[in-house]
Amino acid sequence: MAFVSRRHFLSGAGALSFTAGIGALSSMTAGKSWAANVSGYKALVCVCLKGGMDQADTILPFDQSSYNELARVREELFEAYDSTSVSSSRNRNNLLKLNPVNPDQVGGRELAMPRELSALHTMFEDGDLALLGNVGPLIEPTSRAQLESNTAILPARLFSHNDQRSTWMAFGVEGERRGWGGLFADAVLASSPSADPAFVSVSATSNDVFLSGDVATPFRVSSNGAARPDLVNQGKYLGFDPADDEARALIREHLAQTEFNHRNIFAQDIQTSAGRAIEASDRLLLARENQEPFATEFGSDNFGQQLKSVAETIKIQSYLNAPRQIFYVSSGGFDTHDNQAGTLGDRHSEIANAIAAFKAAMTEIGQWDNTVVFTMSDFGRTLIGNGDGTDHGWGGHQFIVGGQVNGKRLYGDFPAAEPGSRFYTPSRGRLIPTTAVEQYAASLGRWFGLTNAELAAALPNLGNFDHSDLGFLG
Amino acid sequence: MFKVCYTKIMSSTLLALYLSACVPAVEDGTIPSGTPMPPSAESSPPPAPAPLTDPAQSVGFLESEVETIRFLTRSSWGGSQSDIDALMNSEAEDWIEAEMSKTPTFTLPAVLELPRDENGDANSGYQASALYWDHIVNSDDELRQRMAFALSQVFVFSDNADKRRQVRRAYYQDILIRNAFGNYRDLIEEITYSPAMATWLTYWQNRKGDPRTGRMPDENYAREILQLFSIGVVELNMDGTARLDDRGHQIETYTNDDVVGLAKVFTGMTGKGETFWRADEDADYHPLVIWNSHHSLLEKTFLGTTIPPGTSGEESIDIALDTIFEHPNVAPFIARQLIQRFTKSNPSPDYVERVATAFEEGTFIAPNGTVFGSTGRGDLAATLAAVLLDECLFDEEFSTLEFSTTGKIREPVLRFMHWVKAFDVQNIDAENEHRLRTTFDPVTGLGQQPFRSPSVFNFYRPGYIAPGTRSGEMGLTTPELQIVNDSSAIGYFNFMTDFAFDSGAQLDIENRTYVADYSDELQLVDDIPALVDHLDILLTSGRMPEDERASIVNVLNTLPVNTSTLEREDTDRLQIVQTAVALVLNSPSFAVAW
Repeated sequence: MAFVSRRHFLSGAGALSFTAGIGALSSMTAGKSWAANVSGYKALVCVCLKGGMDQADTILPFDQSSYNELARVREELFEAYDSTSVSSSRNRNNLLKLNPVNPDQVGGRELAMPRELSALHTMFEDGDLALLGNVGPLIEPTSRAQLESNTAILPARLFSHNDQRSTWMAFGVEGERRGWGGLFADAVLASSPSADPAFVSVSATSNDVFLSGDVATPFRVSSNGAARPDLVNQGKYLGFDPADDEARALIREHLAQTEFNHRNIFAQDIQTSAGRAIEASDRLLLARENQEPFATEFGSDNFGQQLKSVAETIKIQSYLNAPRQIFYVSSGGFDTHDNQAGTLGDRHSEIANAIAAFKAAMTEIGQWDNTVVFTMSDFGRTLIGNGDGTDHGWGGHQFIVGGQVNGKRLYGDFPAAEPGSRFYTPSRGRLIPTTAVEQYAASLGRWFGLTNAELAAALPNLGNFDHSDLGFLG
Repeated sequence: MFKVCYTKIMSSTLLALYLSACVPAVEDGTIPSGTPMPPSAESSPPPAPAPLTDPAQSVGFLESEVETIRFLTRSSWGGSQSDIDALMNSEAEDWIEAEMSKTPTFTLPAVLELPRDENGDANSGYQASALYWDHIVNSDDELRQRMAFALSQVFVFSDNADKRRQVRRAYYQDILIRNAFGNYRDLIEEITYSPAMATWLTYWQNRKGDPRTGRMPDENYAREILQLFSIGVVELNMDGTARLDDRGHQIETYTNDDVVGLAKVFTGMTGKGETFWRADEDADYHPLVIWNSHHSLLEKTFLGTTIPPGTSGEESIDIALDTIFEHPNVAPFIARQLIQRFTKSNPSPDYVERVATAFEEGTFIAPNGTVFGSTGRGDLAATLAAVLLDECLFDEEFSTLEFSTTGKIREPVLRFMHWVKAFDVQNIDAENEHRLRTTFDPVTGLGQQPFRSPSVFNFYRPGYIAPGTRSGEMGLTTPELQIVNDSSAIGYFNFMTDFAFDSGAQLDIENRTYVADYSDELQLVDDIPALVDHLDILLTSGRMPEDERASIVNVLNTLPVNTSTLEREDTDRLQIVQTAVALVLNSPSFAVAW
């Protein structure tokens, strides 16, 4: 059963069967310029760090006076790290100094990563990783002065997890239905009418809005690629009679139906998505058949396994008829209100090691130059802590990794730990972003093949900011 | 648009609810007349109940099998044929009253008896999780337990991040159980004083600020109690819709300053013990205590209230909870979510307002005149009764609708429990069941595990609208679809197939647990259409569509029955029943209760 467009269904045609692509897609995209460049495979991998990653405990100051300044502002947290002890990860001697090609980006100061991020540090020094500092949701550029005089125009519901995550992904509070990742996928589909829409956007984690577009609906991969209905595929439930085989085939057909006439809209929606799941899962599993596993080993943790699923999907990309793909993975546990010294390090090493494994796997199949991994997070965190943890912030620092990334470079701002400075909100030292999500997204989207017109459509407020290309790619 | 004509011929044991009719199909997405529509701004109060001479006249009178099973599906965990038979021809109000009078059953005692490791944890949690399932399966106070499950999805605690999680979880769950038919104000207070919530939302040992180091109080609970447990992020009308200012914008209920101010209130709280830092062994299942030496004595300002400097912790918390409770948002905020947990994923504003009114007034007068609620404003018994006995659920026209844009998508836990109840599943010992040890994985589990949602934002969001769907196109909220995806759809089917066929991996294979009683069904194997009809009543409340029915019948007719030996024959006949059950459990008409 091929793809039936939602719009086509609602226009009254009911359940029509037709080959994926030409008829339906052209009717949907009539009038839209099919301009996205999709020649040559490319993959974007969005890593959502859930909870709000503390930027000040991820990229730390390295030069002595800046380090001392942070240690003073974060006295209790550094105490929790026992930072003066020889083995502490926050002892300055144990920090991994960054040596950017453009050190002037931070004036005379120097930056470092904690050793738990050593895999990312290596990628930075190797030129594969760029750092984007102080990026976050904005409606327009703003300042501390504007905040203090109540004249700032701000995104709604700052500091609320779900709303900020939604704003990062879809430029609006919870309830938005299309994410810019999905809109990027739509652009790919618009340019390639014969592509399989099922696999252009792929998630290895929950149904967050990032990958939802008008046309594109993310396929959810699992750790072995996809699941199969056991009643159809295993002998243990029914027998081995030829009639049982026939029954199994009928059951498969029954499960793959997308259009039983349930007299309830929710039931119909479930029928359609369940039927689609059977078909798409089988296509994915077919494409995975006879594939050798990667030599690279991924961690057994959930995040490592997610990136493994992504890598495996990229490996079979040519069988999936998806000329370019956008992926979504997530890692939780960054909401470090409590016991930050006891938990952030583990979260850091997990993501660093998984991304390093991902790079190795991509290198095995010659796709590292065609892949860009980038992070996002609900928000950064308060410079001023609550004892053993930190609270919700706003601007944060993000990683961009890939073969074509202009790595070993700093982009954006990495403000010093001075909560009284213009970089921070009056309360508790929350960073005021100096780069907007739209600018970040546009830089990624342009590399991914979108035209300026497509970017403007996907990122409505882009025009409020200078520099729609931050320069970390291309 | 074209017309669909069909008749339904029911077996003689059923009242004919469906009429031979030609009615317009609605493929074009229009809403047929008779669907409850959102009201205009003015809605009249419910009419005073007329004195009843004949109970069968009351709208809550359950006069058919289908009406009865629909009521049980909405209000309880579902039911078996004998549950249906017992309840039919009685009033829904009576069932609710009886349920509310039952003795509550609690979970902590059994969890406390589990063997512990040196950290005091109950064996990494799976044994306690198994106890959870056995508890809700075995408990006679079904409505109370279902209400506690609903409350656990609003006042979310997840045992995920917590070391001493199972004992804390059980104590917390018992708070929800105990207050299920009580008052919101008591509930939120007990929750605030629970070790579970304090460790989960990080105010356990949260201290007042320190001007020297710059430390400020942890803001986590202050934010989430407002955002998720009481008033939400925007001002609401009683019907759950957002209030708008003069320029048509939504109005935020609190600012970051409110959060910072309220954060000072939840300071100085820790487990009972000799010192602030060292809690007793049994602190996990006792209320928190407050050490005023660590409690902020500054002035605390939030939501228009100012607590004077020098106010103690206990008093500050009292004032804070009173302030929150007084907010007009609480009634619609809680009402809409409770409706979503029981009867409708996208309730009409009208319905929300009626339930919110019951919360505000503290009482609800049922269709047959029964009065629910005795604790004043915030009474949860009244609120729940308003949810379950609302006129829209018993509307004659609604029950014969040919196309519905309403109803409730049932989350996986409810679907599994319905199978358990429908077939009077026996030998309840979840610890023996591999699949019930953890059920949060979408491929190997149900994609949902009680008290183990990924965050305080529950498994899904009340306002979720599903992209790329018909309901999404109409802007209908479908929280439960947020956990439905390609992996979970197949994972759910495999999970339920294992139970339907009693073939799940078990610790002790000699002693099979969670075994269904299919004796009624086995008697219908020689009449496949009758078997499917019967399952259509039991599981899908009569909603199964013709084409799906025909497909299932076709599958079942294909299955062989080998009569060479009695054993073979019995096995084959059982497999027919099990296959039928597995396919109906997978039906979207089983997933949705309407």
